[in-house]
Amino acid sequence: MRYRVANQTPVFQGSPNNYSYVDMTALGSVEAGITRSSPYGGYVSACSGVTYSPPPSSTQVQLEVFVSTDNVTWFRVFSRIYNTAPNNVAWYINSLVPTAFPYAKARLTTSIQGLPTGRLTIMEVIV
Amino acid sequence: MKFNGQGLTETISRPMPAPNFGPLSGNHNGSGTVTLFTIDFSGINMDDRWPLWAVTVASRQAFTIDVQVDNTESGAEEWLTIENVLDENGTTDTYGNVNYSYSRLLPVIGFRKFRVNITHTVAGTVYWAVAPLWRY
Repeated sequence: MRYRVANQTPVFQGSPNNYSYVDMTALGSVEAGITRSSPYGGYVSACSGVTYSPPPSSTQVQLEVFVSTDNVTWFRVFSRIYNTAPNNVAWYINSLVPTAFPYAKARLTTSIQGLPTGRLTIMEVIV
Repeated sequence: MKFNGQGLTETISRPMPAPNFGPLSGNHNGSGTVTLFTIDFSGINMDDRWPLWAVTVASRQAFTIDVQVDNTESGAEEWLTIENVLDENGTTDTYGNVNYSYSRLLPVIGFRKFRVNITHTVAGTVYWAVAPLWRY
């Protein structure tokens, strides 16, 4: 059986509609980024779901969130690594990061083995 | 947007921050101790104050953050440190870069001023930005 955590196009209502996402289809890293639309401080939130088929004996899934003042030099403000137990099939990692920098991006990295499938989404959160 | 029970249809306008706080982002290259910025609410009505601020500071080199507030009325400042953070170790990201960062929401309601000082423990460039959060 092939599992998939995020298999639908995100549907957002309201404004701002500020998000981006990217699908993971192979081992390695994917990135999604946004330019914050608000002149105020706020949050950025990134969430990711990864599945493997077939279930691997081991793997590692890492979510990182970076912020930047110039869209060139990026600083990591969040990192979480899930080292998985054997035969798990799905991993979910999220983050909520306060920031005053105008640019943000998320990076999802899978390593060790297997064929991952997943989606990484990052969005602006205005409070 | 405001949820009115029938869908997301009502727009609430969001005025720009009324007070002129001057430059709200920048970078500092060097070493030693400097004040990155001072936010001064003096002369602003309480209703116009912005009680919650986002502060982000980041560098490739280690630094110490010293967040201070002042509430004196006479003009003789008495700064009180409310947070002192030293990031000694940094973390290495998946690009191989070392990161030192400080990103917080700071509640400063009730104070007349607040400022952020940094001490470069290693010479380098520190990037910073500060912005108020919207207050409903």
